[in-house]
This record gives sequence, structure tokens and C-alpha cells, in this order.
Amino acid sequence: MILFTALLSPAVRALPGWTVGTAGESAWLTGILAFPPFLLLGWMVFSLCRRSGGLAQAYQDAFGPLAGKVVIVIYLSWALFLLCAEGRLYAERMLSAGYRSAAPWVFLLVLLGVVLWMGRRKLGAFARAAEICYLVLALTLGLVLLFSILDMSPEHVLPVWITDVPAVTAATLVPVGVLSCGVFGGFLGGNVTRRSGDAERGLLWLLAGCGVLTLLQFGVLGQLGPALCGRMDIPFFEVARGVGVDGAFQRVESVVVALWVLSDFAMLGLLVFAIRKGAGAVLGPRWEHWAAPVAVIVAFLGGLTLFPDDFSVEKVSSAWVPWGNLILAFPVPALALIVTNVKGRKKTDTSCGEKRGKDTGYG
Amino acid sequence: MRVKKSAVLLLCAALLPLSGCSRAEAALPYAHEIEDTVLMGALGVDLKEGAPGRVAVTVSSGGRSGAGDSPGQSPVVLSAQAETVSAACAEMQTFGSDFVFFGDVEHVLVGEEQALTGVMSLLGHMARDPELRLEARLWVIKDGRAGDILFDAASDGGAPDRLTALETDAELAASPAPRTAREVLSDLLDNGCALLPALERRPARTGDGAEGEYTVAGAGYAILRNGALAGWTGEEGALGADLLTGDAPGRILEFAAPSLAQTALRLTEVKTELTPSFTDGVLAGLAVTCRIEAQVAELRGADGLSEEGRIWLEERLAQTGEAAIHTALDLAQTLDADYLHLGRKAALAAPWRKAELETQWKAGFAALPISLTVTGQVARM
Repeated sequence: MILFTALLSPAVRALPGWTVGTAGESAWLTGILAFPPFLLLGWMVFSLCRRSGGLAQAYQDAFGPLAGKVVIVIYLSWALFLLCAEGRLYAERMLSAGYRSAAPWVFLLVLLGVVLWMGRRKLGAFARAAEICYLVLALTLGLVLLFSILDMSPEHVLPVWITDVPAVTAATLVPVGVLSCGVFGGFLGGNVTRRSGDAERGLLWLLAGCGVLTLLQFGVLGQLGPALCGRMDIPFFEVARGVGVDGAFQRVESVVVALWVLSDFAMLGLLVFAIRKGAGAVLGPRWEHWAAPVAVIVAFLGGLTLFPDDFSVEKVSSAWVPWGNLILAFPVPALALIVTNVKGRKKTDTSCGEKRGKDTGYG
Repeated sequence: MRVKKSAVLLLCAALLPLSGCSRAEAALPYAHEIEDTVLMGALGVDLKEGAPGRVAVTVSSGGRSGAGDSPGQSPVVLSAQAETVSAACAEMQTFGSDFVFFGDVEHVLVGEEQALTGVMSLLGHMARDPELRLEARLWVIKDGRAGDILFDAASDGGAPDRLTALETDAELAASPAPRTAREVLSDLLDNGCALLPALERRPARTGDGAEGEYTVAGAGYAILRNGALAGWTGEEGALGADLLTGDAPGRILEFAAPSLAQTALRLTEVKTELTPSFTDGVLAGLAVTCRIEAQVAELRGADGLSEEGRIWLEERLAQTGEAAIHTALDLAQTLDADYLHLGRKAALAAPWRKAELETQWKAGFAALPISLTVTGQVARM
């Protein structure tokens, strides 16, 4: 639930605005095609966490204490970078949604202050807060998509044909790249109570998530058309402007934009908690306590100095961030899983060999 | 200790506005009293006369009727000229003490001269501006200026009310079908062509309900090509466009025959199908099939409708529909402007030909043989 809530913010920012350039009106199919890679990612993280209780411990078990810590530091650095970028993007959205020329640092300061307050507490409290955020966002998203799909133009999303498959496949890199920052949820694996049916529940959430990605793009494309979607910063909020019933309610886009801060809060909170766990694994439990304030301060200063204007942060978020997420979400966990499996097999062979030796008098 | 820390932090936050940090205050919510705010409902954009490159922006609020002790307010019409719409709107804020709010603009009018130079920059501005909205209805003024329409309507209760009435009249098919700026922008970005409802300024006459010297009425559609005005459909072409886009239900068509009474038919349903044809992978033609269903709205001079009369009416209905659709299609091919987006509709009808249509449609549309079959049915009295 934390992941679903946190990933809604980058999802509406990237989809379908970044997929239409490659896939045109077929871009909404990328939500369906993203299911296999996300399934692979989920399976890898689940397998690693099941054995070791968290990605930090899993990497140390797989690569060894020193190399594992180096890998964790890489993840922590990327998480800090994402904190800076996501925070700055949130501030940019607040400025563009408002009517006056305020300074971005004000919005960034307030949100990071709340994130810090939450980040110094237990993960369970954050999870409970995320449940409420999820409920609000799910209702809001459902309302906007319902109105958009009921009033859409079929020519904007159809027809789709086999000839669209190559373009749609290429465009699927966008949702996979943008949303694979969810791999940081694996760092919280050690705090999750194992229950039977976890795998099935995870699969259902994954299916629901991909369904949401599909419907989101379908509804937005159906309203705006592929060309207009590609021109807009966040097409989803433009569609929200049209939500309403004459004489009943209208002009709800400000409410939708304001409520989306809950997703930003969940995303920044997820990153802060992941940094806490990683810092604790690298530097010791004492540093886990100080990781949240340090991360928030770095996010505030980094968000304003690394990205002095909107253009720089948008360029980075569309060009660099997806590739960084892909590298940390797929090859690294895959390598860790392979190494862990090989080590596990060697241990099994060794213990079998010792047993045979005892039986035959050797060893 | 924790309570003290929280209290200190809250106190610091409360003192922040006193720090002289004005940009922090700028982020706080602000309000305008409704009595000191003028809500503009219509915005008109024209080219400034004698100064190409400059725009003349005219805005109009609706009139407010008095209630109880509160006096009513006449419509407020403001006009300013500048290089850009933003600058003109900003200048209007200096006209008087009230705050001019553009977030309530429901109708945007574009004068003919401005439309001839293009509407993309205006639509782009509307897409980016936080107050103006792409949900606003877009209209083009035929043979006139948007500012004139807005000033005329000030004596008639205000332009927003009149334009909203025209928008509602479209359901009765008495006016061209309204289109939002978003729909027009989407069409223009798709293939550079779009259909926009047109209005014109007419002298008022006794009995038309207008209180001023002039009134505004529907005048068919404007055809945009490459984002700029390329032509007008006229009344017959407007009917043809409505039949092809499915906006025709509700229209009244009148027929008269020597043996038949004066008859008014109300269109109830229109179904149009497009079928592209290919020869060896090359686009060879387009078949348009249209079925028009109508009901008898009024029969003057006869007690009932005989079978012969019904068949005659159905034939005349089909002929009228065919002539109207022919006019609309001929206009599109003559101007080489697929303003009805037939290419998209053809791809929907034949998705297996999507790739060929995407590469061949634009180049071949102007000379494409189009066959048309229209059938009419009078379904009920």
C-alpha cells in the first residue's frame, strides 16, 4: 500500500505524457506490457527479502560485508538524489498550480518538515498514515478516471494493431523506469511481518497497479488525444480540470492537485525510511536514528542547489532518473539473487559431501 | 522536552511572516472579497486595427440582478491592447479598484482577422495560463470583431448569458455545435485542421428578444487549416458537417410538396460509417454511408401522413442529407483540410489498414474518390 500510494505521484507525472511520443494512441497499452518486468522485480525483491529480511541484509549476504555495504551506499546515494529531485518536482507543481510567484523553498520546507517528523517515528506509524493517503488518493483517482472515461473520444485511443507492438514495447521502458524506484521498498522488508499469502497479495497489488497505469493512460489519452498529451506537463491534472457535473460540482482540479501531495509525502517518506535502514546497515544502528534529519537537510539543500529552475529538474527526471532506477532495480538484485543461489547451492553440496564423507568414513 | 521542541518549532513558523520574507508570504493562501471582484465570463481576441502583431483583448462579465437590498450590476466590459494576451489582461487590472478575475471565462471569441493569422498561440496560452481554462467554449466571429460582439451585448444583459444560451440552443440544433478549446487544440495538433462554431453580428429585429441594436447568432462553422482560418461551411455545409460528426439530432428540416402539406421533420438519429478501400496496398477510395432517421415534428394542411407522403419525405430527406454531406466533403477536399478527421474515423473502421492510412491519407485526401450513400427514414409521427 505504501508503494502504491508513493508511486502515484511519479506515475501521473510521466504517464502518458512520456509514452505518447513513442507509442502514440497505443501508449495506454504500456500499463499492460509493464506487468512482466514488474513481476520479475517483485519476485526478485521478495526472494531476497524472504531469505535475509531486507535488501540491505540481502546485499551483504550476497556480496559480502564490504562489497555489500558499497552497494548499499550506491543505493543510499541514489535515494538521496531522488529525494532532492522529487522534492523539487513537488515544489514546482505547487508553484504552477498556484496563482502567485512564490518561492519553491517554502513548499519544500513544509513538506520535508512533515516527512522528517514522520521519518523519525516508527515505520508502522508511517504505514498507517499511508493507508489513509491511499484511501483518499484512490477515491480521487477513481473519480477523475470515471469522468474521463465516460466522456472520452474513441479516436484518441483506437485503433491499436499488431503494428503498434514494437513502439508500445519501447515505450514500456518509461513506466518501468520511472516506477522501479519502488525497489527502495525492499529496504523495509525486515520490518514486515511475514504472513501466509504474502506472495498472492503482492501479485494482486501488482495486477491492480498495472491496471491503474492502463486506465490512467486510457482515460487521459481518451480526453486529450496523443498530440495534446505530449505537449502538457502533467496531462492528468488537465483532465481533472474537466471533472464535474453542471450545477452540482465543478472546478475540482485545485483539490486534486492539493490531494496529490499525499502521494509526494508517501514517496519522500518511503525514501527516508529506506535511507534510515541502509544507513543503519552501513554505519550501525546509532546512525539509523540520525539518518532521517541528515537526509531531509540534504534533500532541501540539494533540491534547491542542484535544480535551480524547473527545466533542470524536469530534464533530469525524464532523462536520467528512469535509467538509474532501472539499473538499481533489475541487474543488481538479479546479480544478488544469482550469487545467493550459487552460494546456497555450494553450501548444500558441501554439507551433502560432508554427510557422504561421514557415512563412508571420510572427513 | 518533546512538547517544548514542538512548541518552539510552531512559534518559529508563526513568526516567519514577520521576518520580512515576502516570498514566503506569497505562498500563503490569499482571498479577494466577492464584492470587489469582477468575474469575467467572456473573452474576445482581435488583431489591433492598424497595428499588426498587437492584439486587442476585450472581456465581459455577466450582469448581476439585484436581490433584497443588494443592487444589481450591469455587465462590465473592458478592453486593452498589447503585444500579448497576458499583457493586455494584466493592463486591465489597472482599470479601476476591483480585481478582475479571468478564471470564470466560459467563452472565448476570436475575431475573423485574428483567426486568419492563427489560433495556436491563443490556445497555447490558454493551456498554460492558470486562470484561463481549455474547457472554455471557442467561437469565431464571421465578418466581424469579437470586441464589437462583447460591447453590443453589454446592453443586452451581457455576452456570457447570450453565449451560454447559444451553447444550449445547439442541443435544439438551432445553433452550431459548441466546441471547447481543448477539443479544438487536440484536433489542430492531430492534423492542423479543426471545425469551429461561427457567430455573426446581426441587426436586431422586433421579436427576436434582443434589447440592443445588434444581436449575435450562429453562422455555421469556420474551417481551420494549419491552425488558421481557411473558409466557412455555410448553412448547407454546416448541416453536412453535423451529419458526419453526429451532432445533427434535434435539427428541424422543412419540406413542402404540391400534394403534401408543409412538413417539418426533426432529426432523431444519424449513423455514419466510413469504409476505406485499397488496391494493392494503395488507398483507392472512401465509402461514406449515412442513415438519417427523423420524426414528423409538424404537419400543416393535412390530418395525417400517407404512405406515399412518407416515402416522398424519406427520399427528400436523403437528398437533402446527401447534398449537405457532399458540400461538407467538397469543402474539405477543395481546401485540402480534413477538418472532420475522416482519416481517424477510417482507421477506426479498418484497424488492419492503420499503417497505410497513417502514411497515405494526408497526401492523398484532396484527390481521394469519395462515394456517398445516404438513406432517410421517417420513423414516427
